[in-house]
Amino acid sequence: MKKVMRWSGEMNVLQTIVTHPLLALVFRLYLGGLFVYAAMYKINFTAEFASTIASYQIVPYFAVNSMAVFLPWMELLCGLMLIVGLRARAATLIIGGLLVLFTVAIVVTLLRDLPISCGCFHTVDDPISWWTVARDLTWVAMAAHVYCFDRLFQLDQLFFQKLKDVEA
Amino acid sequence: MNGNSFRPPSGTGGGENTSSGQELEKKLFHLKTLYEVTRELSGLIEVKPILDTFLPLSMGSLGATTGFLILDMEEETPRCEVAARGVNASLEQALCGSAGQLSDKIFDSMHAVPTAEMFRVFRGKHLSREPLLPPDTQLLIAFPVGTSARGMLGLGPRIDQHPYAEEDQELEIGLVRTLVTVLQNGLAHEEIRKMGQRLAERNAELRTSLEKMEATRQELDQRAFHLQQLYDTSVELSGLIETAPIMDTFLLLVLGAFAVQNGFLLVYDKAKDEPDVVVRGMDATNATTLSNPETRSTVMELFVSLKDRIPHIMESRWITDPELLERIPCPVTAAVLFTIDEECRGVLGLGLQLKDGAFSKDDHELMSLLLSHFMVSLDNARHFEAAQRLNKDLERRNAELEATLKDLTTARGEIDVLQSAKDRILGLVQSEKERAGKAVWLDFLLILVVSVVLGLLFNMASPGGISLVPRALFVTPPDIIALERATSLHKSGQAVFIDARPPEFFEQGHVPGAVNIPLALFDFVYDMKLSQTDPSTPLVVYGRTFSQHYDSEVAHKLELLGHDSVFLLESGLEGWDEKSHAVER
Repeated sequence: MKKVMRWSGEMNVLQTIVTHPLLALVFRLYLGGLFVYAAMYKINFTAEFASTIASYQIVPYFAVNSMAVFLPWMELLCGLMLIVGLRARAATLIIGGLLVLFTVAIVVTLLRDLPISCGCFHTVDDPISWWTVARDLTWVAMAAHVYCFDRLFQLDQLFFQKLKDVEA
Repeated sequence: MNGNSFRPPSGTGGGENTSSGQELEKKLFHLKTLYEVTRELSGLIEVKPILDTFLPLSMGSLGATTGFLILDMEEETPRCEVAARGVNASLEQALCGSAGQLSDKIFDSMHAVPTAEMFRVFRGKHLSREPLLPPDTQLLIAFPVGTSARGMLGLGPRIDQHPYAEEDQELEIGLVRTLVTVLQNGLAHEEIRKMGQRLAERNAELRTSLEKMEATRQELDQRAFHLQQLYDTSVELSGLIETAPIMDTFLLLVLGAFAVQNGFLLVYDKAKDEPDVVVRGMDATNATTLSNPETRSTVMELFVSLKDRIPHIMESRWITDPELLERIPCPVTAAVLFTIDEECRGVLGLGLQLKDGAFSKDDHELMSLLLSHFMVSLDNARHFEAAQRLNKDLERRNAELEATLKDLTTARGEIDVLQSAKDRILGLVQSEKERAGKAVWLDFLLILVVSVVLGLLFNMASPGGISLVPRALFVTPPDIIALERATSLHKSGQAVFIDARPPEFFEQGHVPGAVNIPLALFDFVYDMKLSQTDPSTPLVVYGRTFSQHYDSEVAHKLELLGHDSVFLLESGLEGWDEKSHAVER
């Protein structure tokens, strides 16, 4: 009985830690910074990113350049929104969606055994592997955590609080 | 009992000298008796004295020892007079009681009216057997007296005990005739006297009635005068709605109605600071005196002094005590205190009268009625004035209310506007609050649009910008070389096979002897490997994927560099491989 009670107590602590908004904040800031960093390279080297996209052989050729132009800005915007906490949920959903997309692309590429690099951060010295998949999945989990539990230090909250004051 | 009807003697004369001398003496005696009776009876007008006088004369003329004379009168109240001589008192009384019965018996019918000629004479001792008559009656003469009386003369035995003869009967009849005449006169006198009495009584009654009528007339005149005064007062006061005219008019009416030289009317109303004073026939100093506060105290003391007689609401009281009247500052002969309501009281003072005499009870009554009218009119005037004051106040308040209402309406409109704005804002706040907590499609759209815009702008502005659509779509693609021809060229070594894919793909497998010129490194690798090649040398380019047409790009570049024969390998490396041509890995 004592063991069971101690176990349930430990589970409660664990649950508290896992669902803590502070952890979500950490994840949010990390993901935001990650995507801003990733976007900076892609924005500056659009042609190289386009060839990276093309190397995955998933996007049709007429859309490769467009994707190479717009996707990094989306990543940058979402990353910044995550960092400042503005419309964080929407940004988290987009980033999560992108990560899922990237993960699927990497899995497909691995299964195809294409000798390409990830292209996430650099063109070279970043060959894809199942670790890449694991890494992306971890980021997806982080994004999910942020979506579920993040509520601290959001820019929305400033206005949100004022909304509450106005409503009161 | 039958009687013989009597006829007056026809005056038969003659007879023997002796008997005629006796006859003459008898006649003389009779005449003397008649004369005496007539003489005695003349001057008598009362029935009882006539009877009392006649009976002894009649008895004496015949020497009767007893006699009675009854007169039964049927007047308004039946009356019976009896005279009796030699009859005891009880018989005398009984005679009166039986007179009516006896006369009815004697005369034929009770209903027949006996005439003057109908004398009934009864003579003889048999009369004593008549129970209604005294026992010794020997001669009875019944005679009517007019139409309203019947008489009976009854004689008892004579002194000499001789029975009554015919001539005795005649004598008595003559006497009775005289008696009848006298009685008729007497009755007539009595009737006349009674008539005179009745007349006098009627006159007295008339006088009394006249006096009463006069009194009633005077009273009616007075009532008419009062009513006229009331009417005049009502008419005069009805049209007035202000206090001063009402008081002035009333005082004038009162002075006229009661014939008073001067007077005053004083009304104290708690709603006013000053009393209302009206004076007539007095100098101005009196009016000033009456307006003083001391006069108010005096008047209130007068009210208190009345104690339980103090006039209640709509009542008035005369002050009759001279000591109380002296307290009033103006000289008055009478004063009336009146109360209109708990807040309004007053006094009416009447000065010198123009007529003599004090105020009568009728004057008091009239004054009370007039004052009632006055109090009603004054009360109405007070209410009217109060209503006017209230109306003015109401008008002022109405104006204020209208202004306030206008302001309120304006404020209401503003409030409505603000309220609707607040509702909208709250709705927005609510929706925003709801939206803030969740991701909405607008966020995605916004992010997408901003990303696209930023991307486009940066791509356009950046020197490293790329075309959004592959250039190859707009240029004429190079010729495609068939696989067999490409194979033959490959075998003959006439053509140079160029693999345009990235090196990683080249290393995975390529056409034997193919040169890897990746699109990304085209300039660098071309200089290295194909710059010395003859421009006419056929160049077979291959290498396209789903995502990139490397061969078209590289072929286009080669053409731009002056190579004439640039071909695209039909179906690329996959086709080459399917043809089981050798592929280096």
